[in-house]
Amino acid sequence: MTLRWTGWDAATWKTASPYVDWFYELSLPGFSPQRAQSRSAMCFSTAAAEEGAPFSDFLCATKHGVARPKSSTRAARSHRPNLPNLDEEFGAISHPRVPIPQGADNPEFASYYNQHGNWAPDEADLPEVGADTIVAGVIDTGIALGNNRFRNKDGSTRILAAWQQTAMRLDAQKQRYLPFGTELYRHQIDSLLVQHSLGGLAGNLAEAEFNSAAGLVNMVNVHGPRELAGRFAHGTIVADLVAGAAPGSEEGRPGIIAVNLPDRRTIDSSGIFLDYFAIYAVKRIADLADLIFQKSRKAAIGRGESDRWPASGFPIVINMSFGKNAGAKDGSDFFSAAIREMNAERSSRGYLPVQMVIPVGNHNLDQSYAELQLANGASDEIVFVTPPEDHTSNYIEIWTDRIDNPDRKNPAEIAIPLEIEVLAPNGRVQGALAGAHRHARQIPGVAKLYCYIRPNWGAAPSYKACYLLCTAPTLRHDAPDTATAPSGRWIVKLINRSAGALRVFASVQTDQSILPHSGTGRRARIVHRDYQRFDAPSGRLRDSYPYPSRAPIPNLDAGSPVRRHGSINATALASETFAIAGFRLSDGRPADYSATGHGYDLDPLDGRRAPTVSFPTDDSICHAGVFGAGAANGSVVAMRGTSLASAFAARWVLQGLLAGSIKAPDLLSGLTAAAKATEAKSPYRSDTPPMPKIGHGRIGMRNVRRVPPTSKPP
Amino acid sequence: MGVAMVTAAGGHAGGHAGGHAGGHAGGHAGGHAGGHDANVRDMVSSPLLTHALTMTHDGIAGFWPPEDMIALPDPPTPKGLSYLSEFRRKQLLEAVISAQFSVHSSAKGSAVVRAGGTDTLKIVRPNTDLFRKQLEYVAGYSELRIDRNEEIVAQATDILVFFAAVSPISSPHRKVTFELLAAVQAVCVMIAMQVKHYCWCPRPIDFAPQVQPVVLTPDHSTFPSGHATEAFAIATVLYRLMTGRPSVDGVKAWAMPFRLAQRIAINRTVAGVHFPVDSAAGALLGCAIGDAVAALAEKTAVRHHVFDGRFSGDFTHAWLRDALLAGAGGKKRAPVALLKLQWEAAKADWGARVP
Repeated sequence: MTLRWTGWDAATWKTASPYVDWFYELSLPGFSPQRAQSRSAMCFSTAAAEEGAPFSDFLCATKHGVARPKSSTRAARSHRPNLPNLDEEFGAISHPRVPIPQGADNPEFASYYNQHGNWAPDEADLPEVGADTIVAGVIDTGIALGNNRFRNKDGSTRILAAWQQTAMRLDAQKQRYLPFGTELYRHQIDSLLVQHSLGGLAGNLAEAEFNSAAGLVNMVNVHGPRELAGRFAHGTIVADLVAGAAPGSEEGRPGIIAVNLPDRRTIDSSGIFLDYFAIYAVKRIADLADLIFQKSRKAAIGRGESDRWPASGFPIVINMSFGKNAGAKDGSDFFSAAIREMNAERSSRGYLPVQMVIPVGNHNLDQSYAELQLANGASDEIVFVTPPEDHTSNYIEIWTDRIDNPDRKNPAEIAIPLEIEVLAPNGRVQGALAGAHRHARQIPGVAKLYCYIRPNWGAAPSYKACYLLCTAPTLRHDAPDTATAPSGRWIVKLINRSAGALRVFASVQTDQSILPHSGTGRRARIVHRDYQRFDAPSGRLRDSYPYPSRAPIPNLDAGSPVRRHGSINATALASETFAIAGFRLSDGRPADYSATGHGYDLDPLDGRRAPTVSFPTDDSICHAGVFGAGAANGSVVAMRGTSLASAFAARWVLQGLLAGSIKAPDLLSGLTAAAKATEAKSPYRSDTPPMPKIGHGRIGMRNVRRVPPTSKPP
Repeated sequence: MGVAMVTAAGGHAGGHAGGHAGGHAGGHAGGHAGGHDANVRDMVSSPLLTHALTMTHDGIAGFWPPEDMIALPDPPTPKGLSYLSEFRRKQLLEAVISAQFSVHSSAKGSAVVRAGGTDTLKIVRPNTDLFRKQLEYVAGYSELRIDRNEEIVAQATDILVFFAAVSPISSPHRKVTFELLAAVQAVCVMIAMQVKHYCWCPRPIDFAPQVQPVVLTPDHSTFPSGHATEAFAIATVLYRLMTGRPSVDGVKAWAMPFRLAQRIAINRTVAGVHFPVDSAAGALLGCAIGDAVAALAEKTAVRHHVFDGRFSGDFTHAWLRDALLAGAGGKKRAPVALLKLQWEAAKADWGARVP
């Protein structure tokens, strides 16, 4: 088959997000036509969030045909005037439609929201808490709401509320305020615990039935959650490390607001829809915390206790051990912009900002990142290798670095100074050609190349240009008549047509198997002859820097365009976010898989520079991983990865807030000061690894004691 | 002559002992589960030893006409079954218990299990549409395979060892319990095979090749699940011996043996060889058998249960609890002597815990 690209045009790009456009064009594996019919789709507006409109606009714009309120004006956005206005950029392109499993969607949400102007639950459902409450938000999958680690000594839950985003809408009539899924509040969780326990709250819990009743496990729905039926549940161990405690222990106990995200089949193997659900999750946690605060404060004032209640709401720390590998990686992404916007809006009301804690990711050694430095007129190649028998699409984003835009041209008027030619395996040379904003070209059914411009936020007018190459799965069982993409070397040739030098960076997008635990997950990678995977003569996988080492510590990425530096999680890079790297507790060695920042000077607001700090991901050389709660009550599992480091970091911050050793809102200085103080003590037999790998330093947090001591050791 | 005899004996002992003893030891040790220790009685069947004993006899017994025989005292009549090896006791118990059960079918697709002459379970197979709907669960549970594969493979041949992990039945002082459980499990297989035959239903793989089970699909009916029958019967007997209470109490309390039994049953759905409805019916059958064994040993009534073929959803603890609560009591009857003997011995294994 001859693989020929069509010319650049605007007509084949049908929806605002190129990923979503490709998703619907291809009807991806796991979303076969039969399955697609079993789900209803709903309309999200990325534009409403990306342009920096208040969250209420975003919520309101999630449904078909809902008029945006008057607050969605430029005046309302005036506190972030430099945010991109994608409404203007994308014009008539329809907003992405995000799939929601059938039975989880609330078709009445728009009319409810228009009528009430908020998405608050009944006040009576909300718990009443004390003035010293600290809220721990956990956004994950498979958070076991009945686990003892999240319960008090009397068996009652410490979870204030929990939203299961794609659980069947069991209480649909009542929860008309919820756009999708089902939410449980503290008293409802307690009721379910009683209902499924023998002998009251503290009795023996029939977990399988509790999980089923709470919407945490669904064995029959194609898109139902199953994680808690297995041994490991990502959200349970993460939530345990964030806020778990043995019942009756004296550890500080934050109130927990949990959000169980949809499973991978809904957010897609490449996290195409993650941002949409994650933004809802963050906003929901913040709003629920505020509503609980307001209810509790009102009751306290009624009792004459107003002096203990500041008007700034509860401190909120949210851990989200998720992310995506590719993106602008400068904090201008959809998710980061939404967090920024939400905190600006909270600040305007006098409420504390929400502190996000997100891992740097585990893709340091995955050959998922490359950088090219192109002189004027020069060309170079990126070789993108897609694997055989890959059931999912592969994506690579190619970004220019910041390009000045002194004339403040509209994106559509900008001539992109980077020409591109993509040569498919066995494809024929057609010549390099620059794209234009919001244009695409394709090898129908096999690959599509999108081109768009992202205005930089910040003082100076500038922009970045992006090419996104999407290639189809190399094996498809769901639609045998559909073309697949050839596996092998896709050669991306780039030519700099700007007046000066141009820095170009490329990221391979996240790619997981559709089915959990499946061995069919295949990842594409970038290859180059100068990339060294292993250290000689040790044979050890080569990290970004040697360890242990003495200053000056060499950069082991030097000499290859394929780099570990820059592999950092694209979702973790807002200036409002703590990006957490991982290290091994026993000897301080940075986890080789823990992603690395760029490592060169960037705008201080640019999150690409480095992680914030590091926390443990592994105990020792003979014990990989850290302990935490398994899916079933009482079980313990060892898991590794920066998800766990992030959870430890959130715990550190929460415990600091509870103990009063750090104060909101300036959590960053407390965290970085602690990391620096630790490094100053030189706890390990090595100089401190460079900042792009570990951030400001390593904080050695021990595993949480699983069982409270009953007596002093002999 | 002498040389010829030695040659013949050598050939016999070498060839026969090598093949027979090896095959015997391997087959016997592998086949007779439950720590069946080799002892003198077993060794008699060894040709090498047989020959050696013959030679010893010939060497020392001399000529002994019956009239000169020195009479030994009359051997005592053994009490209980302790004179038998564990293997023989289990065989005997199997025979005694299985003799109390019968299975017959009066209508196509249904079976009645009788215990001690009383109906204990009437079971009707579900219709094909129900199985088709239950494929959703088979698909959903298949996602747990990576998590459960080891259990699935281990439980394909041995489930008692899992009960030994939730209750100390492998201790030497609980050997009667272990033998009783092994015998009940063996009887369950006989009963379940008959019920399966009368209620034959296709396996998940017969509905969709995508099921792709991770163990070979058995040749017998999917309905009811044999693993569920055996596991719940074992759980029932074990719980009864430990607490003196019937299965319905154990299921209501969600005691560990029943949790384990449910896990074993569900693992067969994870593996892709059973539907949840198979497990549900098998669990009810297993509890009925276990309770009936207790009734036949303790002079309590054999209860009567019905599985009428109607079922929806997943196999849950709550479903089984309600199904057991819906059972009806029957007439008491005299205990079966040998079963009572071993049952009491097994109860004694649990000492003060037995009320």
